[in-house]
Order: sequence, then C-alpha cells, then structure tokens
Amino acid sequence: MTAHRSSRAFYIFPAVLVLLTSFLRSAEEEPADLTLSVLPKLHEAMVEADTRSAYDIICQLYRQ
Amino acid sequence: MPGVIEFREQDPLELLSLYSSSNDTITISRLLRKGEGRPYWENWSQKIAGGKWDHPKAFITEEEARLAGNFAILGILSHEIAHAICSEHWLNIHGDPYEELLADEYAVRMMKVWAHYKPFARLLESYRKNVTGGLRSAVPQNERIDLPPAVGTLSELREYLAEFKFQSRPSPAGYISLQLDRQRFLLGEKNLNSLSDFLAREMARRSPRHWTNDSITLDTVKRIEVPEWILANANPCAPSRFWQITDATRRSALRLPAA
Repeated sequence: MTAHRSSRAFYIFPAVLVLLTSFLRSAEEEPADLTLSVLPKLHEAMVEADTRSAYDIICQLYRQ
Repeated sequence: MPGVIEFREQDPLELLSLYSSSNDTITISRLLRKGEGRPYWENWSQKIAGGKWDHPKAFITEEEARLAGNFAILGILSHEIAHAICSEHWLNIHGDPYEELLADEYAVRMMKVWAHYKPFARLLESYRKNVTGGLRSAVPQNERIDLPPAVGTLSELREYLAEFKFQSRPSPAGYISLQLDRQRFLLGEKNLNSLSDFLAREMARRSPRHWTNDSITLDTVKRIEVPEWILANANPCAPSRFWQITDATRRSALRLPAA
C-alpha cells in the first residue's frame, strides 16, 4: 500500500512541478491586459489599411 | 532637440523606409489597400531577387498577400520607431549595422507581442517562413549578405555586428538580405527578454549623463535610480520629453534660486 502511494506521488509530484513552472513562465511572458486589448484594434487598422491609426497604436504599445 | 516625430507616408512601392534624426521624421510605406498585395511583393521580388521569388506560391490569394504585406510594413514601422527611440535615448553606442540590429531587436520583440493575438501569430509565422526565409533565399548569391554560421547565440550576434563593417557600399539587395537574416535569427531566438526589460538593459549600457543647453537629458544607470521629481510622462514617440526637464524645474525641485 505504501509502495503504491509513493509510486503515485512519484508521478504526481513532477507533473505538478511542470504545471507550476509552466504557469509561472506564462504569467511572466504574457503581456499586460492593456496591451492585449489593443491588439485587435491594431489588426483592424491593418486590415482597413489605416496607417495613421496603426502608427498610433504601435507607439502606444512601445509606451507600455 | 524636437519632442515630436513627424510621420510621413510614402507609396508602398518605395523600397526603403527611414527615420531621420536630423529633422525627426519617419517616412514609411502606407498600408496596402485591396488589390495591392501581389504588386507589393512582385516589386520586392523584382528589386532584390531579380524577379526570382515565387510569391504567389508563398501567398495563395491576393488578400493573403495584402495582409502579409501589411504585417511586413507594420514590422518596418516598428523598426523605424525603434530608431527614433534609440536615437533620442542615446542608445546607439556602435555604428551601422549594430544600430540596425538594435532596431530589429525592438521590432522583433514588438512582433512577438502582437503574436499573442491569434491572427497576428499566423502572420508572424508566415513572415518568418516566406519573407525571412523564401524572399531572402531568392536574393542572388553574389549580392546576398548572410550572417556567418559561427554566429549561434544572441551575444555572438551582437558582438559580431558591433565590429562588422561593410567591405564596400552594399546594394539595396545586400543590405535588405542582411536585415532579413538578422530578423530570421531573432525570430528563432527562444529566450528573448521582454520589450521593457530590453529597454532597461540598453539604458543601463549608456554613459552617465548628457547636458544640453537649458535642459538635462539623463542617461541613468538604472531607471529606478532616477529621482521621482525628474520623471516626466513617458512618450516613446517623443522620447526627448521622457528624461528631459527644464532648468527652471530642476532649480525649483532642488530649491535653488532662479537663474
């Protein structure tokens, strides 16, 4: 029984570690909400060929 | 030192965009309208690859070509804005092509930020494969300038370009192919730090202070070391305003008598 428990822990512990590391890494790399919220607007400006708006949005992204 | 950068649009068939520090202007191709995708890439193919790049194979439809073109133009725009930031923050500590690398480092980080939005992620992958790959490879060997295979890490790339000098004036095709190879390298780099960390690191590399006329431009060792009273509202598109204060403000903050 003990052996069975420890073998399960043997699999679970690294899995938790991997998930935690991956969560921390993604939290670190994910841009701020404000940045993410302007990306659809930048895409729209690109599709609409609105150069001036795209320029303003990229400047805004650099500021963040 | 002007605080505002003038933005000028040019015809998309103009090959080269630029930032001019002497009159603080960015001149850049306007974004492509419906039906302008294929002519845009055909122009690139003709001017740097002798018409040998099979862009209809890379971009199946006209609209795909247009959006890929607009993505490339936004990348170039980010590159030119980065030149303005580097110039106004005194970050250009080596000559060209290191200055170009620096602007590319900003632009590629910016493109990777965009890629958090799925449609941009697809465009970035297409740009990496078709432009830094296909178009660059189609530049004739006798004109193409590639990074040497020995350059394997980002620090090796920086060291190499800090010392690099063109043997003779490169053709537009040579110059552009080197830029595309730098971007290929940076796009493939898995461990690029974030845009803000990169800016902080670059600022830390500068000499301590620059004094100009009636104002002080601070080149700080670390951003955190800047006293609060000296921080103005940041605007990277008008970077000189960021670290600049008037003499009157400085005197007032330090409780010095007026000049």
